[in-house]
Amino acid sequence: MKNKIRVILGMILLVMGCIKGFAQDSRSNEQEKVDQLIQKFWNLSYGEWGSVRETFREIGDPVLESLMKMLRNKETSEWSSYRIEWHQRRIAWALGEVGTERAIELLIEMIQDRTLHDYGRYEAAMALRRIKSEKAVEPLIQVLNDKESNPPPRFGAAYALGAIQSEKAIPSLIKALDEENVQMRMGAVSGLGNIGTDEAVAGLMKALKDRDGYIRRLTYPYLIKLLPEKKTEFLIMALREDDWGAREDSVKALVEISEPMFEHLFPLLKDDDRVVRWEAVRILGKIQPEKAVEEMTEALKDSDWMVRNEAAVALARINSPNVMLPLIGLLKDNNSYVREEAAWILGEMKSERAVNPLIQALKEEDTGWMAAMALGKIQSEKAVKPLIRALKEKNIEKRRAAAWALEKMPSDKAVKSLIVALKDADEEVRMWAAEALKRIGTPEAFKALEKYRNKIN
Amino acid sequence: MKDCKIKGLWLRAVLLTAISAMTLMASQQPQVKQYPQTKEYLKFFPHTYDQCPELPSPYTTKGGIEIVVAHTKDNQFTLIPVTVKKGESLGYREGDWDKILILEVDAEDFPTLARTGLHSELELDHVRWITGRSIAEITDSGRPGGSSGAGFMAQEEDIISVLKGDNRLIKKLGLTHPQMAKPLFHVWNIARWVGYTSQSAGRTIGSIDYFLYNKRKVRLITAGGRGWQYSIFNDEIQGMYHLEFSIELDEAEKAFLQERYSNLSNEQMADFQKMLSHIHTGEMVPFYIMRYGFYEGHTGYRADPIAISLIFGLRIIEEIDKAFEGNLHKALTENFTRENTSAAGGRYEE
Repeated sequence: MKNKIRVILGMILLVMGCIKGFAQDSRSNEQEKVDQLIQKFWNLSYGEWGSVRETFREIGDPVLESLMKMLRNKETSEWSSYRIEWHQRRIAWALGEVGTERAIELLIEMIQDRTLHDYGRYEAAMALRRIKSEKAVEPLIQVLNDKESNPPPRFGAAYALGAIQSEKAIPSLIKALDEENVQMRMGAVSGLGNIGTDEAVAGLMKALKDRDGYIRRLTYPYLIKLLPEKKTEFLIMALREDDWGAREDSVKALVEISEPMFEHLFPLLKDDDRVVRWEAVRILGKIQPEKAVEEMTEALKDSDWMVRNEAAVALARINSPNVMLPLIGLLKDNNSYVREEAAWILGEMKSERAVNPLIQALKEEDTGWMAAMALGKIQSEKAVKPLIRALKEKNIEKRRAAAWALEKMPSDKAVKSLIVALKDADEEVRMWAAEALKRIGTPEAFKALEKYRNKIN
Repeated sequence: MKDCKIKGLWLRAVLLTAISAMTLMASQQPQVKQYPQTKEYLKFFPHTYDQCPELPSPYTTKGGIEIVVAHTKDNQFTLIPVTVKKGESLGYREGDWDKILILEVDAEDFPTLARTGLHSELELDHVRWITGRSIAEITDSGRPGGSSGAGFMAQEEDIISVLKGDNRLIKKLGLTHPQMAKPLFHVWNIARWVGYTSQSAGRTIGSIDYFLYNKRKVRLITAGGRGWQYSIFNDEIQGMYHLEFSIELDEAEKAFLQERYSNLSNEQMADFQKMLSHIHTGEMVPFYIMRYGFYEGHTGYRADPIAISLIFGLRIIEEIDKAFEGNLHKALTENFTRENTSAAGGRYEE
């Protein structure tokens, strides 16, 4: 019996020894895997970290010990701040990818540890943002409220709290909107925007009054997402922003909505703020200007050159008979700006129907030059004589434009006048006259040109 | 620094370096060219010479390679290939590697600029859009706080008034926009070449003390990175780098300015001299000058044509002063508003 027991005990010991040996082998294999992963990870640049994401997740907890050993490595105290930062960020990122309960605990330790680099702690907050664990809420709120810490871990905490969507964080996030540091306020807006409750929306409304345009710009998309019924109201509000980016975002969004915006945009064309009027014309021009011809034509009379320019460009792009008739009428408008823009658009449209009115408009002292250029673009034979006459006027701009137009529509009839223009007091008139003569190319024109060039040289 | 959008700065910097390297390798090979006087072969940076090579700087080889002579901080001389040619690509924006053509001019909007190297004022008065974008939109995006914090022009300037103002300056100087763009392209190509070779040579742009240009010693102060800056025009030009360089005015030049502008206070004179001898800009500007005749308005990034002409020895100070008939200080400092660049009230009207 005793022998039997001895044999059994011996077998048990043998089995246990085998199990232990197997476990040791398995542990050393595991350690090898961890070492290989760590070695590989430490050779990767920031953009390549994602390539080992799955391996961290597969190995899980066993990698944590090595990571924490590296975090607490005393040699790092000798390193530059930059090297320390990236060492700690790497560790925090890896902990986040492991993502187990133990990893979360370690990340919480990291964000709370004021001896770590600000951006090491920030990266820990970013890892918690990805994991979205409720367990991290209280510690993150503590960090957010911790004014003894520098901003990076604090705004990192704000982003993380937003991702976790913890309502408990709202009061702290709203408070953070009053901080001096702009990144803190950015983090607070993001946090509130992602939580999205009524209380958070109230905080976002406060952010819309921030002194920094960039904060306001960040706030609009959250409000639009959370209060879709007020989308148009917010977008129109953003058009009044002095922040360029906020206005640009709004213009893009309004253009996307397209036609339903018309009724909201039309009143803005009469707004007191010239920028609002301009943005309204710009949006209409990008949507469907042909449905707003009347309003665009009216905008040609605006006191601001940017509004007029935008309206002219939009009308020129339409290029339809519906646009042409009112424009022909505008060639006789009292306002010289309107006459000038109308002539430019008609020139871009290149319609024969506009030739006679433009010939009449050529007589205008201040805007006749633009009519001359329009005639040059239309290239109607009817315009040659009036342009030759304009070449002899006192008005420099008109002479320049007439010579330019005659270059576009070369005619033998113009040769003599162009030869005279080669002696014009204005350099640009002479240049265009020479170009016109070159295009006409008659022997008389060439002879005059040769003489002119010899004189210049 | 302009508070422009920073998007993956490091990634892009690496990308840019790689692309620049490929471009340079393609466009500047071989690195060794025959030395014209001695028939020896020219070796480019990072190779150095104990003596200053007997070459004018800039110099163009028979094969069309443009070279500048530079001096290093360890008192050596070196040759840097800086060829500017049509069709050379910069490989800037991911996926659009061959779209930035150095010698491309916007001929559709500005036919006279393409034909003569100078704008026609008539065309500038007439234009209502550039690259399909309204001049109002370009101006809005180019003013301070627009697509860049510092802006591409001052608040009271607009794109047409700036183009017109600078066109008049260039005309007064008797030069053309391509002539002005070329030395700036050379500076940019110095930075690119040194940046490319620094990976293998271990010598960075900081090792260059100055380079010679039409007998002037031009000190390259920085050619470092900043955030990405998008163009205000509807084009593919983008910015990533600061370019800062200067010359020392010699005693005769200083004395000339003191005598001609004795009405200026010491502080004004110091600013005046700095404006003439120092440029801080970005690498977008040579492309802008070539394509549109745009030097940026009166912002911290302006490459003033008057300073370009003096720094790169295109004109001497007496010639420049004569061109502006004693109004050089005003020409350098006054913004280009609609009023002072209009045909009727222009400052520089013939």
